[in-house]
Amino acid sequence: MNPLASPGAGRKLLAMGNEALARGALEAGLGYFTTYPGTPASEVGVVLQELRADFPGLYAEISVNEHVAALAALGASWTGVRALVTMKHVGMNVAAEALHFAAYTGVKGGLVVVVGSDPGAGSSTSEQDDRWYSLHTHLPILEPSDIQEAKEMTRRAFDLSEAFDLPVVINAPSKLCHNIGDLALGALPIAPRYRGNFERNPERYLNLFDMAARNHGRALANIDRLRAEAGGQGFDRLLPGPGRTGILTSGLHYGYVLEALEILGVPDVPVLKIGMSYPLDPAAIASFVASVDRVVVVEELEGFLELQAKHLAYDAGLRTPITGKELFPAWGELTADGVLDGLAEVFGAAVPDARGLGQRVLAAHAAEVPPRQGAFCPGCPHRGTAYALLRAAGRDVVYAGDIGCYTLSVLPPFRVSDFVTCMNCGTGSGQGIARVDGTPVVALVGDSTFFHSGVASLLNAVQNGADLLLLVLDNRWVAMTGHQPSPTTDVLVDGTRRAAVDLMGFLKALGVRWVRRGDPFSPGTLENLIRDGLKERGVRVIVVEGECALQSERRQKRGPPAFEEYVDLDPERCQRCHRCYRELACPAIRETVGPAGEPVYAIDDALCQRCGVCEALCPNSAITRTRVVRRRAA
Amino acid sequence: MRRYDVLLAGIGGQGVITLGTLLKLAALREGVDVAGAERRGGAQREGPVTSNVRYRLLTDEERGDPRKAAFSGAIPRGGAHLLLALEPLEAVRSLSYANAETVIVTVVTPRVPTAVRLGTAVYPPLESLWDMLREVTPRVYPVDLEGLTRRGFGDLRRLNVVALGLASALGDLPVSAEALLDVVRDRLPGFEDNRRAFELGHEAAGV
Repeated sequence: MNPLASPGAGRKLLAMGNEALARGALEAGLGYFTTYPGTPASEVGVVLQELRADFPGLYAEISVNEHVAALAALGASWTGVRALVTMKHVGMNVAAEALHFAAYTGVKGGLVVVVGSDPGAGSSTSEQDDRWYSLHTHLPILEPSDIQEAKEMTRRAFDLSEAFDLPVVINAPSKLCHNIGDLALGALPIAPRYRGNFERNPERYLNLFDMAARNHGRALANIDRLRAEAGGQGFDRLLPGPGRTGILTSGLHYGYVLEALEILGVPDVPVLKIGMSYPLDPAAIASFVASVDRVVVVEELEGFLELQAKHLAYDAGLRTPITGKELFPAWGELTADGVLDGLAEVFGAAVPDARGLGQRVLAAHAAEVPPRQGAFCPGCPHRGTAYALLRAAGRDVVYAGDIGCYTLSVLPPFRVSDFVTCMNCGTGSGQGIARVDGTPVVALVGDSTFFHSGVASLLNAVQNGADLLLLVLDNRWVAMTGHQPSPTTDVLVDGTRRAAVDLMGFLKALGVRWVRRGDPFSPGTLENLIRDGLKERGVRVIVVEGECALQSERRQKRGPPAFEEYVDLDPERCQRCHRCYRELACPAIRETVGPAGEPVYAIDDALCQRCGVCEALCPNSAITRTRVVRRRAA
Repeated sequence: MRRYDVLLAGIGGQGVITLGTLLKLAALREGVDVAGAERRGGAQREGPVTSNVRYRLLTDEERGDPRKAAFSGAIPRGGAHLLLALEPLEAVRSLSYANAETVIVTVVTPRVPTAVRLGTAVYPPLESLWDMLREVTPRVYPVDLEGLTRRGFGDLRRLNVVALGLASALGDLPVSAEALLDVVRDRLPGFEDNRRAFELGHEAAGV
């Protein structure tokens, strides 16, 4: 049994924030789950899919995109089943249309929306503050401050959703989703509701004629009722103190604030920790603001709490200064150190000098420490594709990038992405550029990203006669987020066959006349194919098929190896043309020292995946692959 | 309150997060509070990865005080008691978490960043990296973990268990070597080899 399925209330285990969110939903009697994977929230879906073995009635799917995921979860909620939908922050943009109706129709089974945000944009192309959505979707927001609270709040969010007839959002930043710490389990319900019953209710579900306006009114009345009863929900926590400057904070920053106050030696500062950041409790804010001479809001990203607090203080007739964003920037991750420095300024207290020693030394040597960027994994099909693409198309084309593992092709040595914004930006904005700029456009897209929202973009290009070469990089998985199945996944890691989309046939059905199949592990052949594609006009598509190396390796490891394979680089033959080491830049090719102290290239056997790309491109035949087939003992 | 903060640093694919998880599981086994913060390098290979492991022992009185009970997973600047790096450059990159008392244990085998590969940046000589570390703390231990593991086992698969043994010997962890070994037995295959690897780490620490 998965430990997260343990019925033992009070049992302590080690859990990732995402696992705590999933467990909270199970403790609430979750029946229906949808998600489109996205860092940092992907593991909620991974865990719930795994837990189907322990909760046979639970429905858990990886949806094609967030829009469908949110609509489907809303439908399940209307039948009385408790539903959860999770996504990353930018997924909210895709789900937004569905979620703008959710407060109009209301819910029957509790509906919870987990949004994994990415302050600092470490794994995203945006760090938008999704909390603003609630000002027009009217969905309440809970902000857990640690792993334990992630579970408790998710569990309680379902009750809150049903009590106020509104879906509830859990805002979980990457630092919470990914953190691993201890978690005490609560009880699981005896009989979660897995089957629902849709009852006709035209006034709620048919947003037609004047009914949409009336539903808008009911949504506003529901959120007003919650606002009035916010104090009774018990999500906020007041730490009183004699200080005249009070701190208003939420989420992980509650812990950062308390530790910073301890370090700065100002322990008695009043702190109001917000658990429900929308709607704010007007009475709690008014009495907190009235109790101090100044309020400092410590929150990450934009001033969402600050704006609401100022509004509520104004309504209460208070003119106490409320500040926040002057000290804590509205962009970037607000780290524990950022809080420490900001509060040092607020309280005129110095950070102890000894604490800064390491930082000062590092700053003095910053220029000597080269940056480190990510790279494609050894054996990754995208490395061969990026290499072949650059050789075929050079620097005289516009490279239209997109979202996925292949986004890394933006980095040296390839740099074959000239813009990356949102899902399917490549095909989408690429056709606009191609129409009015004479430069050829080469767009990239992965299989999962293509099916997420790219079908309409490509159809638009075909229907309107755009000039575009599109490479669909079909690695068979949603690889970057932890290998969820994509519409082109045909074999799972355990060997189970799965119905996959016929991608080549699908492209032809869309009306693409020039469709070819390419092999990323034969870079020379792929290069020629791309050159052919560049000579044609109209919409041309090359489906580059090569499974994610991590997944094919996992599958192979399940069975006994049919043969052993070795890749060797012969330093005698090597002319140090650097093609493998610099142009392909595979981490498994390393520079070491030869017998006479000269630099030589070598294959790191522990990292090499035997993909064969370096062997194929070496002009001096210095790289060889040897297969050793073991004879079975008679 | 007793705190003990460990910062693990390395690059994607080296097992930094798993190593952090082993250190945290040992805390669970011994009834020590534990929190963490991980930086995963955008789910990429070869990017910088860190794991914060924060141990804490509270009295009952402290546990009842909400100001003391809150437990942030992020080690503040200069707060690490032990910095364990699986890559030399990443030890230096994490220096802002070290102070004059910090024990720094680092692997001596460089993994060159792409910029160095392409010739647009230089990987500093190891001695100068150690000097940077020593500007902060005298307790710097560069260890040839790859050589040690390869000599002991013929390959590098046990490297992180050797590192765990080393950390357990050189750091003043509030979790016992026995608890760490129990966790290794529960979580990793091949316990006899892993126990030898752990002991190899202990011996290499020379304590």
